[in-house]
Amino acid sequence: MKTKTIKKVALYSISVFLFLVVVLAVHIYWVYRPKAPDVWSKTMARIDIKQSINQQEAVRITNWMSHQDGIDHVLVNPDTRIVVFTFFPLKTSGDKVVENFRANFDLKADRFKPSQADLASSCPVAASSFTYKVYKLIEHIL
Amino acid sequence: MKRTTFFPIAVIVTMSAIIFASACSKNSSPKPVVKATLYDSLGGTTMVADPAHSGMMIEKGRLGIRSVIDSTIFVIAADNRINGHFTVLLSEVTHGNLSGFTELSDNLTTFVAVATGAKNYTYTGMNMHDAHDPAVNNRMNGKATSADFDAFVTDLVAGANKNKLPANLINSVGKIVQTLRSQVVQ
Repeated sequence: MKTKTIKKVALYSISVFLFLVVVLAVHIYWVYRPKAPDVWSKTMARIDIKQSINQQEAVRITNWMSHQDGIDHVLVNPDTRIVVFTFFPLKTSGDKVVENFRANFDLKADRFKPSQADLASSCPVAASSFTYKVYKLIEHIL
Repeated sequence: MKRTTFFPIAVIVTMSAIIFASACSKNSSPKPVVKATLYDSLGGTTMVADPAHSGMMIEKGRLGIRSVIDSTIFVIAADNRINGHFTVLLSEVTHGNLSGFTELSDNLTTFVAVATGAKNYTYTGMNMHDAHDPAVNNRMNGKATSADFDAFVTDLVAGANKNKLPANLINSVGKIVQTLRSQVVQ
């Protein structure tokens, strides 16, 4: 009789524990799930110019890009010939910006797209909270 | 008889009044000197409108730091010496992940805010030693060199200058960053 009661209590305890683990996992996934962009979302993109440019051209590119619809901020480094910009994805897309850039400037330029390997080995200051790790685990399992 | 009873009562009342008065006096005890932190110098906890999110408020200190960090991220992203460590900034390009730029900005801003004395934020990322140790953090594709660190500091100063941060505050931030050199360059 006593053993039966203990088994019953253990069974209930394990069931409740597993239920809570599932609830927690669903909650963490829900909080960290990829969200659709909103009006405040910003995306960064980069254009590599394949020929040399001077400071005046860098300023001209900066001014032109700053006035394009959906562009948030621009930086042109004439030394590295790199154009970095952020944009609002609900207003424009990186490809569209690059397309317009090519149409407006007589410059050889490509959009830089990092490879999977690049992404896997970058950004040492990424969030590493316990809940974020649990989310990545759940994402991996799914 | 009455006189002998009155005297001790008068003494007790007088002593009580003195003690009470001294306890209530604002000048009775020296105030602990609270030294202003660098975060306070950057604006502190004063709430101001967040220019990046209409209708939202943000601590002035955090806003100042975020502005410098965002400018620095742009400088780094265009700096071939170290932008290889930060390609995740461009991750949304190929993966539909919209958190690259925002996440790095948030994490770095929180880290610097806490390091400069912010009390209302908590940095939950890795400590600087582990974050830059390839054996612990598989996102580090190799050990950071002293040259990498120098490039980061140069870019940080460039980012601060773009926001017209006073030289004395840049020096203060620089001193804090320099204390991390041994943790980053391993």
